[in-house]
Amino acid sequence: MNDKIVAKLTNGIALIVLAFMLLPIIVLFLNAFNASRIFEFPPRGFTLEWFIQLSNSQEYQTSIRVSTMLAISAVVLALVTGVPAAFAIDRYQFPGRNFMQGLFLSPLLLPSIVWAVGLVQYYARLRILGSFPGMVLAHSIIIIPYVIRLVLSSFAFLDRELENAARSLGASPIRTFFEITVPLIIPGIIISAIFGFMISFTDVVVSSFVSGALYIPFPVRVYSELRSEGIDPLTIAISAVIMAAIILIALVGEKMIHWSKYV
Amino acid sequence: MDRVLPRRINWPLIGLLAPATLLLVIIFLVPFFQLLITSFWTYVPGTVLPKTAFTFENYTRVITDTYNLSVYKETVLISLLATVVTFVLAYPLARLIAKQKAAVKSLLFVLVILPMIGGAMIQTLGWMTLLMRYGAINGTLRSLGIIHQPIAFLGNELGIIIGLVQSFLPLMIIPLVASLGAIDESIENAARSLGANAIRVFFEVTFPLSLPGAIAGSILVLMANLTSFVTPSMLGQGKIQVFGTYAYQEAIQVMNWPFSSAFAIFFIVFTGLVALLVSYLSRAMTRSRIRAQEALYE
Repeated sequence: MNDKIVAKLTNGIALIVLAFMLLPIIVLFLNAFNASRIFEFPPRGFTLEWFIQLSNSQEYQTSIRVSTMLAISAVVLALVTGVPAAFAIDRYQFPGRNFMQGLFLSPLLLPSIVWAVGLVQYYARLRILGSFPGMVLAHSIIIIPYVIRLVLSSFAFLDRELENAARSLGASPIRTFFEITVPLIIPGIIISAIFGFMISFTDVVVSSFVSGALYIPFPVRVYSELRSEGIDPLTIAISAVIMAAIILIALVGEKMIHWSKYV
Repeated sequence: MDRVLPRRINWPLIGLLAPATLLLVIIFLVPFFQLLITSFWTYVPGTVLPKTAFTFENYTRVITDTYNLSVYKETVLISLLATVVTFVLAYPLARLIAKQKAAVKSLLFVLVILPMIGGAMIQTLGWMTLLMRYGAINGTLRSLGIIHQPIAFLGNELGIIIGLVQSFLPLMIIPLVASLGAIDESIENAARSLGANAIRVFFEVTFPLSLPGAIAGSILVLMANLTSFVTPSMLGQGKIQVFGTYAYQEAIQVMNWPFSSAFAIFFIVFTGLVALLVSYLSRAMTRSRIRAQEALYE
């Protein structure tokens, strides 16, 4: 077979695969404007009805608020604990350094569903099952590995000569850290914060085990709704809004701080 | 910067590490011990907290119960199939991405990673509207006259595999792009100038050199498939039971914590062994391939 035909064929297949990956997202966007109440294909007509209803729906707004508060709190906790730990791993030689790094990354490697089965019993004993702090603690665990990894890779990109220059010009180690090191790893911190926010905001596994009736994050709400009542056009509309926000953040983030090189 | 002697206590270092370590130990590691302990306790139907009487009963049920065995078989079958399909689909796209210039590459990278950062729930919701009895795919196929009766995608393995493949393609593509991007193009050109055609260059040069990424990606995807919960739960519509959905049912709905703990322990040992086996086999395969090639060129 001709080499050029082979190349064209494989590129064609590659584009079909890309379309397949984006298919559920594209369909979600199209459906969000679909006029029929019961899901129908082909769509019956264009409407903004669901977005208008969305802005009046207390229930949805509450679950979005819970998810947002939860994600912000978990990200803050993961950054406050994770950034110093990443700094220690990058800058210090100590016995058990690899072990510590492994420990910090372990929530990414061990299946979270297994952990969740243990966590639900543990939380029940501590009487924090379904509580907001309990959910924040659990979510910070699934974010920490990303913080450690992304901040470590921004340390790897950092030019040590800049720090040495500051030191040789008479800056104290603390001043060097805050005025040279921190600004240089800011992209890594921002990326891990955004990543962590998305991980927490879209998590179903951990949340559906440890959230109670009081605080129901958005994905858990959707999950239980889909299992009982079926697809509500409002759910599609709100998911389309969330997905649009995620795409926007991903594209802007790539343009501004080129986050893909950190992954 | 500071090189620290191991014997002296280094307070700044401990201060930096302590918060994260405490959080991980208390919230992440202790629940695993809880699992281990509860797995030997006795379930009392109707109550949440189990009796602390020691028993092996839970493990016996995990290993011998025929229903459980069918769940394992189903999980492994679905996961393996989905992994193979993911690999086959990921390769051409990874190759296309690896060959692009920086600007296009980074845009494609963002698009490819969207299913991952969009979260399982949103992807699954999209798939449900596509795969339903009167959904977009059946609708399109019917209006084109290709089918007359709608195809059942939901509530069976087909829908779950479609969903799993789409969700976890990024896990395969990212390491593959890294591996393919690291290949020196002059090697491929050399093979081509020696008269090899595109297919031969691919199978004898490109593919062997991309094996590290392929292996890493396959292990990541296989693990993700084995431990998945949202996709099989939603697209299987409760008719297909896999590890994840079964663990959820026993722990949250039945609230049989001793059994679900034993099940979870078994599950983690099982997936760990699978990961070890796959990485061992693939490394052995790579080695024998390299040896065969060396023998060929001697």
